[in-house]
Amino acid sequence: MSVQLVIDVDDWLIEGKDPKKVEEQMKNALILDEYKNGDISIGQIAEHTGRTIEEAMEWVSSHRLSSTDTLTPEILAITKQNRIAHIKKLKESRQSKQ
Amino acid sequence: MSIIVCDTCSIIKLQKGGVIDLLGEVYDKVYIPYAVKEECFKGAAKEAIKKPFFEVVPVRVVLPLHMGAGERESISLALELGIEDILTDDKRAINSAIKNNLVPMTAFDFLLISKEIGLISQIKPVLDQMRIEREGIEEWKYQYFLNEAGEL
Repeated sequence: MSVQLVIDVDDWLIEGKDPKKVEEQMKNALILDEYKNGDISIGQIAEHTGRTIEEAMEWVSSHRLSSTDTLTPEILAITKQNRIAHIKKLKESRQSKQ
Repeated sequence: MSIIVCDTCSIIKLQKGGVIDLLGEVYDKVYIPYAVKEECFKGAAKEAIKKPFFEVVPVRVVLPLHMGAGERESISLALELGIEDILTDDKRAINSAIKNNLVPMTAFDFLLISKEIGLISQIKPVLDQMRIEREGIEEWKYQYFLNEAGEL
């Protein structure tokens, strides 16, 4: 997904806001939006913002965007199916070891 | 031998929940690629990956997947070694794993698995600990996982 953002810096200056801060906030908003949509991963956020993975996870959480936000009902349904099959496989494997 | 490939975010979540050792109780080996080791070394998971069940396995061919290094190498490693089970909590990585016919699960699925096979009695204390450790979990998902665990 590509989003182009045009900011008239003068408008922000008139309102007494630091344009650099505003630009940073806008960039962050775009990154968080892309993350929520699954367009970028937590690893990419870390790489693009110079954070570690752990810092990126905490940064995402600090913006009221929990790191589970991207686990949509569709994803949860798929991993649930995988989990059920995995449990069956593990139980069978453990039984055969006994 | 039971083996799973694990990505950085899942290791961090389990470390924050204080249950990283469960991985070693469920699996004989937890394979991580070099990039995951490097990512873990930069944070609290540094000590976690020193556990004997973790094994750093080099990836010969890293697929050109558009994601972070750890996620990219984890998927590449799983495909290269023919290990279908992969633990990751990132949506993009999960979708990519599905497209590549892998079987992705999240750290939360792993907790539910651990409960189901009798290694832990409740997942709630783990989720609460994750929250204390600044691991954001949306309220409806917190409730969803508790419901899946039969703890509501």
